Amino acid sequence: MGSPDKRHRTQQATPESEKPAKPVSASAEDMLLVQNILSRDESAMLALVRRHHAVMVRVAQAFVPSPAIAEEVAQETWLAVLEGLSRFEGRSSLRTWLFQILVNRARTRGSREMRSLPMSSLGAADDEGTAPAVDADRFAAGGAWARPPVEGGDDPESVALRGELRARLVSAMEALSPRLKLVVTLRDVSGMSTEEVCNVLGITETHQRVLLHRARSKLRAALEPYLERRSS
Amino acid sequence: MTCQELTERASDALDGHQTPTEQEKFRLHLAGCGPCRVYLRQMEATVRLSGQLAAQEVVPDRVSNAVLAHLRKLPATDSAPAPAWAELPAGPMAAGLLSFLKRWGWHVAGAAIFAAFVLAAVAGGSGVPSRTVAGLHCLLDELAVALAPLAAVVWVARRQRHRLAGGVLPAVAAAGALLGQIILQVTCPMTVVRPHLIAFHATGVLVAALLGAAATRLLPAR
Repeated sequence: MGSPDKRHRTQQATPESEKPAKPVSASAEDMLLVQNILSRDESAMLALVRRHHAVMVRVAQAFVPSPAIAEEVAQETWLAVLEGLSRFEGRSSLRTWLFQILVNRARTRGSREMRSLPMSSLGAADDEGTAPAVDADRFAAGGAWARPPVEGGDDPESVALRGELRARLVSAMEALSPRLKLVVTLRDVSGMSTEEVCNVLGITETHQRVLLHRARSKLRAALEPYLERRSS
Repeated sequence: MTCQELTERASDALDGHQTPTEQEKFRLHLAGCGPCRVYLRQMEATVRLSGQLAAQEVVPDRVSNAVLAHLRKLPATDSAPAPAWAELPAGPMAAGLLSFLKRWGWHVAGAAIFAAFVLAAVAGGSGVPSRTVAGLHCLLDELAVALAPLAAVVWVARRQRHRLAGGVLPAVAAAGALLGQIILQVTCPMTVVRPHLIAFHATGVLVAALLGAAATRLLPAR
């Protein structure tokens, strides 16, 4: 008796950010690139592959059990993209379309390999949502820093990703749960917008923000000793 | 806002996902808190460094070779041989109509047909069925005349491997229908009856343009 009523109320209370993200349509640049590839411009195709392949492998890895399978899925995706390119209509950005194909294939492959990751079935308050961004024991009772972060010798804005720092970031990325890794890879490694990430993964903006916040906080914590220690 | 609260909002702040009130609180706290400024800079550095991760990775030759080999094997879209039936005079029309139906659904097509019949009935006048028959005859005549230039343009474009711009086929079809209309102006005795002229002759031009648009959607992809 009360349940339809409740559902109705929840729907009414749905904030803007809970709604599915609006698709970002393709830019003129995207359409030109597609035209060039369709007229057999190999360098255009290579540029596209170089731009996205590494990220595609990382994304696929969140769904399948081994890096080798992820490579395979990414490569198959490129062939599928070529097959379907003449039907690309620009309703989404080329990048979104590319990653949607990838995620579909990786998901299928992952469930065949008995490891599925139902992104949409997860609420924002799963295990990743409860850990604080910074360990609680670093704050005093009132919420002020007890052990604050320290500025390193280098300005963090000019620190380059190489050597130990790079290795640390890679391993911290690997240590993230698949969902956190997925979101931070699409958003920060690949540089997608929030809307694009939501469209590719089929999650709400709120969920994306929570996952991204957790992922970034964990990565920062892992890099903190390096950002503080390094000095030129 | 406490330092601890700030660390829970840093990611949203970097992405601009804050209400103006939150933004103001955030800004006020940062202005008076050195450690939180350090924290935010570290957060920014993390995001920036993540962005550099993939740029340094190389694509294995195996992958780029496979992709390029596949690209070379792909049937070229512009010079691909069209299905045999699409080369027949009625082919482009049928293909266009099919894709139109696929895109807009049968209910829209049904509504269009219904509207055409209502127009036909109105134009047909009271109790003179022959007029409706004559009207449909005029409509079909115009479409038939429109077909010839439409098919010719499609055929030449394929020969020249030329990709047609969006408006070309509708314009060609409409022009063809207008040509048919001019011929009918001489042969049709009812062009002086305004409802007949609007319902069948003008509609013929519109329907032709519509079919041209539908043909544009389907044909270049083949």
